[in-house]
Amino acid sequence: MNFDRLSRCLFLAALAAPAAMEAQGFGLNEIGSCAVARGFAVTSIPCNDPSEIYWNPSATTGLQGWGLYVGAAAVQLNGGFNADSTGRSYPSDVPAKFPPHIFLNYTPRNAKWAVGIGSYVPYGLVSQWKPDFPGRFESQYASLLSDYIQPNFAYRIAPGWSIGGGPVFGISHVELRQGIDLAPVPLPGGGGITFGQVGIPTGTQFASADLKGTSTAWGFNVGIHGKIGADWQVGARYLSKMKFKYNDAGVQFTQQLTNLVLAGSNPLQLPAGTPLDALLTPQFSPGAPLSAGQHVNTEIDHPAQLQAGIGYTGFTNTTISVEYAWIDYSVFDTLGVNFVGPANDAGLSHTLIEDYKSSSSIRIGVEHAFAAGFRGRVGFDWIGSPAPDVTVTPLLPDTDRRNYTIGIGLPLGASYTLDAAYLHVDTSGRRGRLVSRTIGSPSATETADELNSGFYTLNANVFSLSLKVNF
Amino acid sequence: MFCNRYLARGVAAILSASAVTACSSDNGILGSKPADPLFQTYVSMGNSITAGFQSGGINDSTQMQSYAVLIARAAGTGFRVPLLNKPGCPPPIDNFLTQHRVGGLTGGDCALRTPTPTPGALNNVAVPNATSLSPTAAVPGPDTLVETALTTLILGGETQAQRAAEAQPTFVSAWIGNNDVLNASLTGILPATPGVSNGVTSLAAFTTNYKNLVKALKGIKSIRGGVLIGVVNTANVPLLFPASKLYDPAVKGGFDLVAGTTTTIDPTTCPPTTTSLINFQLAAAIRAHTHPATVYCEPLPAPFQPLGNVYVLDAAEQAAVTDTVTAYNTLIAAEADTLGFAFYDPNPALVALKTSNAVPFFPDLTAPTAPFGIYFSLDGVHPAAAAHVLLANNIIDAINAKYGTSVPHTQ
Repeated sequence: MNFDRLSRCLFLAALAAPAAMEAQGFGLNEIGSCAVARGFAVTSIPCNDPSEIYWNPSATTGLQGWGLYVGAAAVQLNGGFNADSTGRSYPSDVPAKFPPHIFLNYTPRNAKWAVGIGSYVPYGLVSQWKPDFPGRFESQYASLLSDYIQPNFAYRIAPGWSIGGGPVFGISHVELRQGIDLAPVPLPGGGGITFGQVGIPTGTQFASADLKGTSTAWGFNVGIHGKIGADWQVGARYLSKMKFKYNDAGVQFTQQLTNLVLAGSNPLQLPAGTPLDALLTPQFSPGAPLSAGQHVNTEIDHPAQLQAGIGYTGFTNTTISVEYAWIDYSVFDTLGVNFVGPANDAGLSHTLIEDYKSSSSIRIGVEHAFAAGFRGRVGFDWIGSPAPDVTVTPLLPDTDRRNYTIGIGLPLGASYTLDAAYLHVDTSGRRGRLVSRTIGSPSATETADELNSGFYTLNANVFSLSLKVNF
Repeated sequence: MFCNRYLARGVAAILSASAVTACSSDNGILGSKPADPLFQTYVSMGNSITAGFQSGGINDSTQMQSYAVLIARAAGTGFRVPLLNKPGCPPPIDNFLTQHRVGGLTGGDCALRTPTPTPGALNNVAVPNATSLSPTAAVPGPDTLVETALTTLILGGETQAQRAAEAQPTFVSAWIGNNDVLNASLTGILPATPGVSNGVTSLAAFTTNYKNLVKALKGIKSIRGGVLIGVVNTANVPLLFPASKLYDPAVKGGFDLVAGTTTTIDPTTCPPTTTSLINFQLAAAIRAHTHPATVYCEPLPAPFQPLGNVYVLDAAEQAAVTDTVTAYNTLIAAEADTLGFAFYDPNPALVALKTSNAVPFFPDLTAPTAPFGIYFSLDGVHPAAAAHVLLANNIIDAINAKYGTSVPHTQ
């Protein structure tokens, strides 16, 4: 197979694979099993495989010949919400996810340059709750899946020092499914009085909304890597912000029966026994606010990432790396949901307030080459949450995390290496809210104490397998 | 957007009331941790007393004084109350003599609800006016007769039993049945008379209704305990005063003051030894000229009926009410045993308040903001805050005795 044929084939595979395998269960950066095992501290002392295209695009000059790195992680999230008012617990319902990664690199023998391509998923989340979860009106199911395709070129600018990078083409899919609560809906001709004011309890679901959209964006990923003396290495990478605009995303409203029946002498002065659902059905008729075939526009800025660190190779067969990563989540300040059509005319468009802050993390990784030929790896991360106290939500109940990682690299003959890793994401949980916080609503100015009504728990287990092929 | 002429018409009727809508951010007791797992989730069913109706009205202040709220607070359990905005729905009376209501509004006004900020099942599902039929009644059905706007405002299209089940309670209290005898006792007309009296629910019907309630409770698998509360002997409500007291010039003067005229005590039906009880609302009826200015204490023969019958509970009627209530409570106590629940009979404590003169036998017109003392509200029927504390503590005692718990008294 010549380079052109192989690259075309793998490029197509890279495009197709993540979507087909429903990549990324949560924002864990599980891009390559070696990197997972070393606690993602692989920018200063890169893993010796083509996943460097993401972790440090300049370091691929250190590889030799053709290299293919392909694999996937199995991500299992365990979370839940404990409601203050009832003491009841609502476990999350997130199915296991299998985000893949695939990288191809070519570094000619004794050359100063390297070229490659990679497909990876640096951002994505899936949150899903059971139908009785009281926060389903904020989010019952949310999926953000952003595949980045990155051609890469690296060049050794001086002995031990390389730079590299490449453009990034992103394809992002977003889906949000949520219940629609009848309580805040204005009564027909009611002068602003809502169903809630006449006794329909908050959390009475009469419809569901399913929003699906796709967008593309361009960005870049660059890096630098160098050796200081015989025992030290340094590296840094920068992945640019990418703005995804999901225009004309589809939205489907579906009526759900409340089975509520009005009692006698009701405030609506309707006959006793009047089913509420019959009053609501016209809202789903053509041209009505919740009619079929409507669209919605939104945009999500994917944050820039900066990671830099230093590694020590002075111990025999052992490397230690300590790195700092910064992700500019401050770009995720609002999330507009702008309907096009009757839903917008009915005032259903809104802007969610997120107010995320930049996030920092410390990443530590150790690798040791054992005499038997395999490599053992361990790592630890501390990751500060970008979510403020007022934005711990069903969509993403984010909290500070601690990652504990372990893994192994097992040679399988001269050309193959199998990397395996296990990552446990541990958190202490965090108080959070169930309800939306939108611009212009009273909740916009409420404090976390006023908004939060329960406690979210969250942990995750990740198993990652990657196969490295040199040829 | 929405266009339904029926809805528009209906809502227009309550718009004037909603103009006085006030915000209510308090939605009950939230974020508590129960002292005993038995009270992980507590749901209270019942009627006006449990709902927190006082002084002919209800709002978020009176609701939070309900004995059910006090028990929840003492047990340290979260408790969602369907709070009604001030001034109320209707606003409570704040002056007995003038019948002035909070906010200067009328008994037909309603300030609606402020929905809870977060989804979650109600804990206090009691509804004023509810009878033994109401908690499980089909809609529409016979219960429609006693349903009011509050039925929808509190239950939002379901029954008490349905709302209770949604909360998945571990502990339940039910105080239902007072309205099966109250209206008849106050009107003095024990047989059901359309437009005049709801009548007394027969023991057979009450038994059917109550067993339906018990069946509904048995169907809620999360329940681990509860308390059933007996029916109040409505012949003892403070609004009913002894007719013989009208021979006391001070009492007679007060009565005439409210009646707006010098009334006559019919010497034939009202001898000084009469044991009949008079509903104080008779004075208002005389003032409104819907009743002659003569007080009769026994039913007059035709063609003078209902004089001497309406607003009068004579000795035979008092005995009938007492016997009915006793039979009700015998049934309720037995059903409590069947469920393994505690049972509490409120009558001894309420009678003790009267015999100790903690509740005046005749409204104290010199104290128009507390004519029935601190234990009964201005309508002379519904307990006031102090009585709710008394009842809550007595019920807590019954619960502790039954389950060996140590729920502390409320203050």
